[in-house]
Amino acid sequence: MAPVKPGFRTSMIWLHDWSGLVIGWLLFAIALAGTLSVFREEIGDWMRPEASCCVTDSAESGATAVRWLSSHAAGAPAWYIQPADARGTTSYAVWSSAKGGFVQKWLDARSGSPDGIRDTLGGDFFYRLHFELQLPYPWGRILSGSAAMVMLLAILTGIVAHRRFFVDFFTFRPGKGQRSWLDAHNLLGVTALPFHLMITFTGALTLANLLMPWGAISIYRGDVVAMRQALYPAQIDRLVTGRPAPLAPIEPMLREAERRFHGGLSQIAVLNPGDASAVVTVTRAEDATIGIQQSILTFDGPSGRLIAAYEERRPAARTFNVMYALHTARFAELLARWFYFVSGLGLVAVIGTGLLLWTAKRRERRQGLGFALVERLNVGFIGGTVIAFATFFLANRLLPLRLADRGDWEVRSLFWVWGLLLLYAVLRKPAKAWSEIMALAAVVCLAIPIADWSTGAARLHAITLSLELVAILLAAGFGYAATRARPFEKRRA
Amino acid sequence: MIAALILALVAISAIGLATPRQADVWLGPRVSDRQRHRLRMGGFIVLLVSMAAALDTPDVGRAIVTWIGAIGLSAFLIALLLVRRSPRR
Repeated sequence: MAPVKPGFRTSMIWLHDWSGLVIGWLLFAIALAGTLSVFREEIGDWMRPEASCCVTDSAESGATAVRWLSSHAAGAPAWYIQPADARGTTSYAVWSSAKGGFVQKWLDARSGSPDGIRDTLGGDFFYRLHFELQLPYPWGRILSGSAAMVMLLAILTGIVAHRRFFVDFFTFRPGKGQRSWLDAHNLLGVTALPFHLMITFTGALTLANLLMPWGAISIYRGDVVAMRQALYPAQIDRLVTGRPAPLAPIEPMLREAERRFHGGLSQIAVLNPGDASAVVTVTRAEDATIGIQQSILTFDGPSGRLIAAYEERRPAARTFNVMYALHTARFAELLARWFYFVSGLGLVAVIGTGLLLWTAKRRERRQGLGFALVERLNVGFIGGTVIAFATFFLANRLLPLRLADRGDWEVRSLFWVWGLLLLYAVLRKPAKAWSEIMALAAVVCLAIPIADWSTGAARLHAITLSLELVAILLAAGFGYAATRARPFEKRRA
Repeated sequence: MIAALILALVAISAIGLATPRQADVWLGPRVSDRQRHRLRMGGFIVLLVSMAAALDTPDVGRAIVTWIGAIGLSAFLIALLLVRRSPRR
């Protein structure tokens, strides 16, 4: 008798299960880092409590940053600055160092200096980790872009696999083992489905040029300069003349930009500073509208004269900007940002429950080496990622302020904890490791506000209180999970 | 926007209660299909009113994103509230 061919839905379930497993652990970390990136500036503010609070004028903070760079990075070929504004209390500056590579500093909005501010990557660490995965260019971006594409596949196949999509829309039946995990997975996936589809599609689209470079290759035939010129037509490059010329006062240029933009500034780029060919390029803040309306003004550095004004009007570029803005949520006001954050946590939970379901569905059928490995790595990745990320916040408060390369040590502490917990999960019996790791997650989350207030770094501020309230709520949730959730235990009828 | 969010919560509650499983548990087995249908339609009408209230702003793009986020989280919240009571059978 010929073997029965699996139906369409069965094939979709198979694809959903395996695509989810293959990329699930990576996606869990990507989604959690992305969720934290929604409050990237606020996390940075919490992690740099020494910075002056509440400077809202991006022109003023940009000018102080340029003045500091003029005396401390005069020889650099270019400076790129994201000035402090109402959300971020420090200006971010990056420039090429004489030794090669890049130097990045977070500058005080009032003084323009990094002195006295603790060395930390702050929320930018999660932002970078979200799509670069601490890997060299372009591998991290290719990997995270591929993960987004597989995630999109998993979502679409999951919709087909969900047999009772509308009937079970509001259904969650707790205390019923695998059924409860499936209900939780479906509920979290279905209720925020528009968000999951949007964030995954726009995430893959943001990195589409790396995943599918053939269009650009066929048009530009490898001419990177021509491609950049077409993508960023406002960019004005000038060759270095070698004739020294001081930069004109920066503040009038920035005020002029503010006046023309009717709003704040998102980036200031100074090319060839100190040379007669210096150019200052100012980009409008990205929080004004949902579709980032890219407006760029270019000034002649030595004279301060406006030499070009560019407004992005090309339909394709504007469409891309809308997609990019939807993903990064920089346009979003506080309420919408919280919706992004909670929906992002929902996506993390969808991935986590999906990984647990993979083992729950196969528990009775086979218990080979592959199953044991997945079961243990699930504990290590789900619990380990949460604890490792919480350790990053804790390290920010506990590491000595004068420690050399302190920012790098914060990152190292995260990866050390992550690695140790993965090892622990592989060696420990899953049922015990699960509740122990959840208990540890509760302790580490609770330690964040305790460390903040006991080290004297805490400020009575909405950001501090919100971050610590989230940490306490997570600690309560993990504490509850430590006593209740035992998804790896064999349930007998 | 707050009024729109409250209306969305009311609308999602009605739509959730109109599903067969929740209607059976919360409204009793005597609720007819016709009554469930009316409740669902009522929920969708309130949802439309909620959307109209949310979009009554010059910045429609932001409002749409916020409103879609709100209805997703409302649905999750309502689903959690509806599990508080075990089925009466």
